[in-house]
Amino acid sequence: VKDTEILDLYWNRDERAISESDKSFGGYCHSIAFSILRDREDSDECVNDTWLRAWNVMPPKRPDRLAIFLGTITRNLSIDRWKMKKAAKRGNGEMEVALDELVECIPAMHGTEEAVEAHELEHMINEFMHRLSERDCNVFLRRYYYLEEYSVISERYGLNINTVKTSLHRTRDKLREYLEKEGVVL
Amino acid sequence: VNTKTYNEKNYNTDINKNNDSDTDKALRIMEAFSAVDEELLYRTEQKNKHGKITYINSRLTKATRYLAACAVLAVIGIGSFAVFNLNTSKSSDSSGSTDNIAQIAAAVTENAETASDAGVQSPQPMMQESENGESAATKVDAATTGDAVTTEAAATTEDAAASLQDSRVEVSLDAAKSTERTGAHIPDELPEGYTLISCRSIPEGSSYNDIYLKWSNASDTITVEISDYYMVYDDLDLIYGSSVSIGNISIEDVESRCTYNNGKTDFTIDRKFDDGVYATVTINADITPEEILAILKSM
Repeated sequence: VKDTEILDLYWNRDERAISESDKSFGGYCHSIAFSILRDREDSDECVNDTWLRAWNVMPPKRPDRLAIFLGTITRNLSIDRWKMKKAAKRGNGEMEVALDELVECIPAMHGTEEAVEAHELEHMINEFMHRLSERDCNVFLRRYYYLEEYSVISERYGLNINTVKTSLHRTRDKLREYLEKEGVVL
Repeated sequence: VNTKTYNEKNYNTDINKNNDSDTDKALRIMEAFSAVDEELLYRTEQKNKHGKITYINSRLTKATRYLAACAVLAVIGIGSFAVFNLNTSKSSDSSGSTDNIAQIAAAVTENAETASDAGVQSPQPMMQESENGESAATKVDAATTGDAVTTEAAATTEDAAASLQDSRVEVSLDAAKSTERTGAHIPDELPEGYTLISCRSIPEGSSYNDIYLKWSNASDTITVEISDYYMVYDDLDLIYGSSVSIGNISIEDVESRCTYNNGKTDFTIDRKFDDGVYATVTINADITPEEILAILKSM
């Protein structure tokens, strides 16, 4: 079933939209959730919640790329669930490792400025990603959006694993410098 | 003892608080990625006709790149050695004599033979000059005196000049730019901060043109070699199997040839222009693919 046909099912309030979404995008969304949560049961629940969230926003929403749209919902739900779990216990998954790496991107504070609003930060990050070369941008997103391991990124793009690490390190430095230049306080 | 234990506990608690605080901030950054444009996310999933995006060439191609670099270095080394011998001979006898030229010709002959034995395919003119180098040298007027290598080459007979033609000599950038065929391909656009530290060319009268340029910015270097007669490149271009001319190169071509080490970009390309002139561009610098593309486009 094509993406547009699944979109039509949502718009026509046809419950087959859920099953068709699960068939077409279940594996994709599950991999995103599992990268963050490292728990099959939690990942399944996030994926099921994704279809419900999608059902609630379509219509009026009609995304251009359904897979990306559903994947983003899964990612947000998974991060929320991870935060709840983290309060109880800290794990050793890819999420924790990736967060430790992203600590390098935290800009230094230069006073008593107020923390930047979430939507402003999103806008800045988006702007920053557009400034990167295609390769650096892809590698960075595969790591910090999809939480893929170095070896997976290396295989995906035919890069040496050290090249992936170097690219990520350089981009994290650039992001920190960019956020500092923009006067961002987290 | 109790006080020490108490302080250690407080210290560890502070550490944990800081770690949690940093993690929360990192989490804010990670959450902000959720708003990245769909196009960028979609691009990460795209695949080429081989099933995936590949940002570097295959190992075979990479190996040929190293081979090309070695071959070019060998050729440059031979030329440099000949120039060195020329300068050494010149300084030891300022009056000038046939012995000087004979030594240079002998050195060029010896180098060419060595390169040939080692399997390096030398440029054709070098082999020709080595065959008649000795006779050319004997025709040099004993009265030649020179302030510079180029002056001496011009003052000697035509055959003697031919024996020197493989040796690059320092020239001004303007002189290099006025060189027939190759001069037109010297890049006009370089990132800010780069200074030209070497500009060498084959003396006039050679059967081919060749220019070597090197710019530096602290430890960053950009090297460009332009030639209209390098047989070795013909072979390597076939090995590469690419017909992309340097004038039509795309940002994807550039990015696929970039590797990153210690905060610097390594980039090498050997390609020919539409008019048949060849160029080797070697970069080791903190430079973006876009800046590299701008250099190539300005050639």
